[in-house]
Amino acid sequence: VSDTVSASNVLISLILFTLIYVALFLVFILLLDQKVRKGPLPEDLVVAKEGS
Amino acid sequence: MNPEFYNVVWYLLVGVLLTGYAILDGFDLGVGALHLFTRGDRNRRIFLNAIGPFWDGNQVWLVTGGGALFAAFPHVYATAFSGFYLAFILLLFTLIFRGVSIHVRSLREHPAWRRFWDWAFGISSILASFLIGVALGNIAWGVPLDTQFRYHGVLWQQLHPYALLTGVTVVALFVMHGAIYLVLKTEGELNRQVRGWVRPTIIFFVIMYLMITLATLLYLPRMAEPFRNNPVLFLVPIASVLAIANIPREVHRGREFWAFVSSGAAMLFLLGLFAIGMFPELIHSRPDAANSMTAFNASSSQKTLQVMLLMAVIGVPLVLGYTFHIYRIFRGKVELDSMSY
Repeated sequence: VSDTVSASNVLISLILFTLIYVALFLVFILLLDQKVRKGPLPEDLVVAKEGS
Repeated sequence: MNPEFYNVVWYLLVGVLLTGYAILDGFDLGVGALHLFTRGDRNRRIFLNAIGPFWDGNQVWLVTGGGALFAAFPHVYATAFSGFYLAFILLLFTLIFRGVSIHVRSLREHPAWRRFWDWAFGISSILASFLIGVALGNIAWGVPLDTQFRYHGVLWQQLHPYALLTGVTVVALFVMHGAIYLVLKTEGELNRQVRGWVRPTIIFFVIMYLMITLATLLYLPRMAEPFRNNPVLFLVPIASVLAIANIPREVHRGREFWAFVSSGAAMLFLLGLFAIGMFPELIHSRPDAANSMTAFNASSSQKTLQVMLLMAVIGVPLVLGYTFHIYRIFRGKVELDSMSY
């Protein structure tokens, strides 16, 4: 048990970390959804010739 | 060899790593602080891409500085990271938000999206710089430590006037450094705009520099002691002032690269000044100065310091080498393309 870091401090940081990760997960889903809906660019669909 | 040799060397090396961090991440934090002062999506993207290839590499210097502190002065690491727990969590979150803002800001066209991340980037950059300054202010001013180096205090006690002053001073320093960096990285109309920022940011910093010097001389006379005992050390503050005075001169002559070098040199001398004033202390103790943590009473064993020095002799040139290489590859003005932020 730490003498200087109190339980409430640990709790606060844990809650903040949870919130930040949830928020970033939502941002990730939003951006992923946008990327999937948009689909690939036409030039990315051209099959490259073997060896090129 | 004098057994205290390694302690002094590691005091210097930790200082060098943190100075490297200040000089490198300093300009990209400064660019973040100035981000909200430019209008238009294109200009803001140029700002982001000016620091694009560098900002995350720059932050690694903070990690290595923290790592060196952990290995060379583990007691200092323990006291600082536990004692300043909430402040460091806050700093960590500002750095997280900053990184995310840079990455995602331009991924959607929506104006509200971009405005949100612009603000997140600007505010987190300013707050991160401020918190770094507050930490510097606290270790100089002194924090309540007991004989076991345990910290007894809470977050709001770390926000005393001297620490707030060092906080604002570091923001001013980084903003000045960032403005000069932007002169180096922009062209055309935007270049004219950022050139106009150089003078006011220098004035802002010089005012803060004077105030912090005055406050230090008045309240922390022990930091002036080394200079009184050894007047040749006055060359360091003189060099810092000359380096700052040289910045507008180089900008005026169009030698943008040397203006930036000058600003970096000014930061080196300023942190040298701080280190000379602090030596051999790493964290000052107040009210009981006898409990202060120094390079000698808070270090690892001599053997550890020796082995680490060997590692540093191998590792530091490698780090300097790739840092130099990256800056060389991405030199020149910013051009936006499909791969840009």
